[in-house]
Amino acid sequence: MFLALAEIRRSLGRFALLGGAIGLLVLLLLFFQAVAGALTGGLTGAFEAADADVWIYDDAARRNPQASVLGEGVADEVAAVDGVDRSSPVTFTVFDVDDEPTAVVAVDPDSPALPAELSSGSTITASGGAVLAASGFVAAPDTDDLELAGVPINVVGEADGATFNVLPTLFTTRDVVADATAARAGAPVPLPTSAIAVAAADGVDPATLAADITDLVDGVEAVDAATAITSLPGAGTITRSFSILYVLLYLVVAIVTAVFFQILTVQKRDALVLLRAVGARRRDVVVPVLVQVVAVVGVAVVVGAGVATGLLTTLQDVFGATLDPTTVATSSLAILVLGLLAGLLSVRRILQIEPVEAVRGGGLA
Amino acid sequence: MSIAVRELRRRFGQFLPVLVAMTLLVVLLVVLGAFLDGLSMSQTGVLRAQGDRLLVLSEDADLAPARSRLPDGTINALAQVDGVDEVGRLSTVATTAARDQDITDVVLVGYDLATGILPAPPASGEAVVAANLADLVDVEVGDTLAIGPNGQELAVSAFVDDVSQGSPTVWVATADWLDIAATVNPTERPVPQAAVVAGDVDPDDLAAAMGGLAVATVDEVIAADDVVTQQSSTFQGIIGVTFVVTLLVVALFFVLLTIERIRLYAVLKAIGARTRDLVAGLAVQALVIALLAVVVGIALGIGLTLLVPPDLPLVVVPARLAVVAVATVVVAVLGALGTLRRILRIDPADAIG
Repeated sequence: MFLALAEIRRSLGRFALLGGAIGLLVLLLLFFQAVAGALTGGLTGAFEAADADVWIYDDAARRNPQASVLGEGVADEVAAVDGVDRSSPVTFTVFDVDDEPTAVVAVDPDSPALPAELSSGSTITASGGAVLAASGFVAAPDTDDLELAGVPINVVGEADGATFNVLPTLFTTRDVVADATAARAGAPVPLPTSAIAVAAADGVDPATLAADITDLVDGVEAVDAATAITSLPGAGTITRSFSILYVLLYLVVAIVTAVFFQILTVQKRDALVLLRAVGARRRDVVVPVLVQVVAVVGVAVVVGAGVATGLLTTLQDVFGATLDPTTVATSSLAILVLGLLAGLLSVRRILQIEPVEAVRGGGLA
Repeated sequence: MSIAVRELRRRFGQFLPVLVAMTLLVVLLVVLGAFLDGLSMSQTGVLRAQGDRLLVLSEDADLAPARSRLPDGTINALAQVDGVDEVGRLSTVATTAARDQDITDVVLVGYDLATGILPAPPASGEAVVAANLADLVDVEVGDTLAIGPNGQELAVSAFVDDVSQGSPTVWVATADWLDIAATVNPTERPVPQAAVVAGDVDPDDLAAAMGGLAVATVDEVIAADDVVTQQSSTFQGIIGVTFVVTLLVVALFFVLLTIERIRLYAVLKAIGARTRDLVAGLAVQALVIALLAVVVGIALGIGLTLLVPPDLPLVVVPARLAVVAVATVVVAVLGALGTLRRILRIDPADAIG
């Protein structure tokens, strides 16, 4: 331990360079994760926050709520399926609110499509009530005197993060959206049903219920909530795109750490041979390397995470992304473990050192 | 200099670790660049297909074509303006396309004017289709696609490249677009969203002649897209940080290498080698390592982009590769020069202990 820390103190420049490189890689990794989380959250937040266990779409819509239009009577057929506790038609559309495009989710009061938990206020219980959702990337419009194509809206609750399609999202009653649609079109227009949100009865498996609904109701595809979320357009693409970058970054961290400690071990080989020759046990020469890996990578992780948090907090208005403490902890641990694994290459080399090499000139260079 | 090159050849294994690390960093840079260009190009294909024409949008749309709704009579009014040769409508709506059991998200585009990329609008019931749709759905010229919730059948008449807008695009005559858009979004009366104007006319003059409408070039409309510009600045920032990491890695390696050779350098200085000879040797080694890393890294990066599923927005642009190559080499040489101070401090007297 003493040797390990003394070496870091005496060769601070070298270890600082390695720490700087790893710290920057940690910063990049956490930055990617925060931006990816904010992007997917902005797309899927409304579905993640909803109380629904099963979502039902037109079977040609590819689980895309914006492309789905369900026929009349489907809602009644779904409600009659065994295992359905509550079901409610939902319409996804877009209106300009305060001159900004806003996703509008038309629901019945107490619909399973409404956010299960609110950050403030109460849920919709009557016509004209609305729940407004914003998220990191998405700023909410001013809730005073809110109108939808001239139809007044009364925001009774707010649900942070429950956004859809990276837009501020307004959950309001179907009659209000029907009036607003007619006002916008200049003529009465029937409000189509994009999807049906279903709450399963107690003890009913959502995946099984979804399969039953798909079998029993003609022309629909029912999926459990988790599948509905991952199937939303864009969500899977973002996750897979960023996954490629995560893998590359983890690889770079592992290789940079391995390269550094490998070179350091080669350079110290003569000293290590001498140490072994004068009685140092294998663990006495291995432990300092592992301590150095933990110290350098650990400090780099802490600094990288700190800078990433500061940067994302400062640039909240630009990126709208925040770091989830669980993500920070998991990624930091993964990098530390990778660093240790990379350090094992040096350990292997150290374990190959034979004390007898000291009398063959190996420790006397 | 020749010593440096000979050392590289004879002790290549010593340089292998930094070569591997740099190669991976180049792969990362190539993939990041491919995402940057892919995201930008895949979201702006419909606009870029309009070439150097002007776009006319409703003034309240903030130059966002999807939010624009042209008032009735706009097209005829535009056609009367001096200098306007051609006017056409351009509208989009997100929907799905199905072929047998394959269903995919598409953007349906209604248009009136042929461009350098697009053929003349197809006949009613036919569609010009983005080539990347064929990667997702098994479709060829003459096949039929079912579009939208009502499964409106369209026969594929031609394929065109590089016209995506988030999803692959399906191009139809405006009259067909108006019919299908009404089924896709029954809550809104479909109206043309933008006008495309060809001719020798100044945007400001056109805007002045058409009160209540915004006139902009394709580049201006793309630049007004917050999503595209924010993605671009985010990825450029990330690429910048990756170059800093590359600089640190190279600097770290050459610092270690210099420390290992301090006595050797002292000997060389004692027999007359100048500091600049030693630094030039390190720079040459960094240059060679960087060039190798660039060649291998770019090849691996391109290979990786070819392996990813076609729905991921990765596009390798030669100009971006050139920037990555030049910047990597410059950064590597700068990193190697980070050892200059250490070499300057080497005293030739150290050679004799």
